[in-house]
Amino acid sequence: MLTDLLSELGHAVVQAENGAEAVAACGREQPDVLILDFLMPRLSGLDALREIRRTQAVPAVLLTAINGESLRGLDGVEQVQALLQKPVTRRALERALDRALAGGTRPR
Amino acid sequence: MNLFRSLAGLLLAVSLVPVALLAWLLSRRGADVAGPALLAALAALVAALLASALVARRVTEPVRALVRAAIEIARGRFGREVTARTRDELGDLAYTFNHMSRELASYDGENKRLIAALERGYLDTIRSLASAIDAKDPYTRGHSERVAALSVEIGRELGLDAEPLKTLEYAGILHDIGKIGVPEAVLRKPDKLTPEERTLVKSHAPVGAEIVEGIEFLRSAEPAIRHHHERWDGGGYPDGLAGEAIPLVARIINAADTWDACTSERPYQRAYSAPEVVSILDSLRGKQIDPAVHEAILRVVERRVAALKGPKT
Repeated sequence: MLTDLLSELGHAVVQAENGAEAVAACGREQPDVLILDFLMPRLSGLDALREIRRTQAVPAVLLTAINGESLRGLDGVEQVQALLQKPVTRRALERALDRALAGGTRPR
Repeated sequence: MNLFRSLAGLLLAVSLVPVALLAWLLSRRGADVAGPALLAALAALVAALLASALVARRVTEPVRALVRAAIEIARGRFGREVTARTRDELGDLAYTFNHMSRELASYDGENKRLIAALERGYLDTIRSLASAIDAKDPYTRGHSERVAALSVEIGRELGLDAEPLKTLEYAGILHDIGKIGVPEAVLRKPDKLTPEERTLVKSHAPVGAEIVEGIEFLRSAEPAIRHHHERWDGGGYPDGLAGEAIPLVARIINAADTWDACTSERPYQRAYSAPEVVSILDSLRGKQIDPAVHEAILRVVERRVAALKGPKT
């Protein structure tokens, strides 16, 4: 679903099944932006991001079904440039990507 | 005070303020509207009561479901989930709770797999230890493995739990480990042993117990190894224990050991047939062998013979 939306917006998408795979894929692909799921088996999106940031300064969007207010102050959430609430709409996706690519430092 | 009562009470108190205000204003306008005003106030009160209860329940029900699920997880039932109905913070709590529960279940499963792999590794190690003993004496090749397997079957027949069954397996494999200190010439001697040699052979039980004593995960096997030559009537060694004073696992290994010794060829004896060994065991019942263990081993042996013959046609 998200992949389709991103392709429609003209982005090339590389998918990863979990956090560990995302870390490995980042090493290979050098993406312009990351969209990370917050709750993943074994490696949370935030922990995967911390791992990735050790080697590259790629902007990141955190995808979650959880109310953004609840995530405030959570350890690691400050590394994220934008939050994207599930279910994802085209407009929200565009906004989150803009924010991330513009280099915003504060999550919405 | 529970959450439902405090929430409902709070909501009711808050909604009572405008109701009371309304009733007071209307009653000031004269006696002609006092009756209907009171009635309206009463109706508003009932509505407020119902609404408060409903809203309070919307909050407390999910919280109670979470409490129940948390208790289940604390009891080790990882993977227990709750249903999230709302898309608010309570729904988020249920959603993250379920994620946590699944993660716990997956960590738990991984730990169990790791423990099983470790135990298999341990077991392989003690197996090779035991086969080193069996190798000293060509007549006892495979003896330790067979005694372990038969002991576990007898234990199962007696309804033992997983823990003593594991002890039976370890102790069965290692019951003769103390023979490492007995010269091969004595072990292989076909003639009658001298009193000194007899003492040496008998020492294998306490020596074996001492060998495993220092190994944490084999410690439970230690009494079984030490006492596997005790007799039900008290005439055995090394401590001359009798009856229930002998650990049950030791009594089981004793019977399995006797069965395997009789059914295999030894320097001092030919191999007996199964019916012959059964009558030997019968004669030892209550003397060397615990009567309850005797009954169990007969049932196990009977099943084995039936399995060999195949299903009846």
